[in-house]
Amino acid sequence: MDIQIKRGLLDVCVLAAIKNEDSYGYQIIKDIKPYIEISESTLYPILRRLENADMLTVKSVEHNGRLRKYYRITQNGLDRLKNFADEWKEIMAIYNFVTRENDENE
Amino acid sequence: MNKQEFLDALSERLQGIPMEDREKSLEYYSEMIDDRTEDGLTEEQAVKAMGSVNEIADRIITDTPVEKILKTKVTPKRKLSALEITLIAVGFPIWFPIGISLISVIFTLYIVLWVLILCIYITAFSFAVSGIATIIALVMSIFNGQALWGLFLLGCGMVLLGLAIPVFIGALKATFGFIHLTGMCFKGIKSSLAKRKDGAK
Repeated sequence: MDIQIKRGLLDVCVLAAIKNEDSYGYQIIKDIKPYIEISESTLYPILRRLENADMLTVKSVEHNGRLRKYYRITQNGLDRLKNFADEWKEIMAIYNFVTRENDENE
Repeated sequence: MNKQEFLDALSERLQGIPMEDREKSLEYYSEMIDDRTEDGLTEEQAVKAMGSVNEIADRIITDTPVEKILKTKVTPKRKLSALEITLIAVGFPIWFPIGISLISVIFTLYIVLWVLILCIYITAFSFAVSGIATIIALVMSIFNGQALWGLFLLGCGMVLLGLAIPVFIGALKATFGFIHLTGMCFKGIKSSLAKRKDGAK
């Protein structure tokens, strides 16, 4: 996959993983992995970037005698997901157009 | 490698970035290793799953804004002695002009390289212009009834236009190559700044 596209997709995947309930790093990776390749070292800069862009907030919660960071989506983050869905509606329409042309040629 | 060794190695490689960012990274990787051990991996396996310390550190350094790295680098880890401050102040008329000249020389060299690339573009452009001019001359000579001369001009025009194309492609390639090289240089300078000097412990 094109590296720029993948970068943008990873951002929204992380947001989607925390959309319904707060989540932590390892859980996010496990949730996203079936769909797109991600590792600990790729997730870290994404979380920092989303935090800086006010798309999520971080809270430390005690777990098994240590601290675990939980990430919560903000309104900005929800807006980003909404935009993503709208943008992809257009892209899907183009996709349908492109593949239909191919079928006709066959 | 166990968890502590991994975190120590990472911390060592991240000496060049601000303390706050370093601690955040270490907390993150510590949590990740703990979560993986809780999930049933041994500590060694969990650490192995993180990947190489050098790659992780390079990635974090690349993502840290260069101002932050410079600030960390410039802020001394210990207070300067009175003698050192005096030496820096007294030496100012010496080190300042030398520093400025060095920077200017490097900057000039950089500009010169861009001008060289610009020259390739100009060469391609002049080939194209002379090619077109030759073909105009060809049309005129046909009107004047000099067919043989026209054929000669046609050949010249084709050769000139033919030369313009590869030269232009070469110029484009040189531009992209140079932009890429500039990016690499910045990255290299950044990570060498962030690296701690040997013996500065």
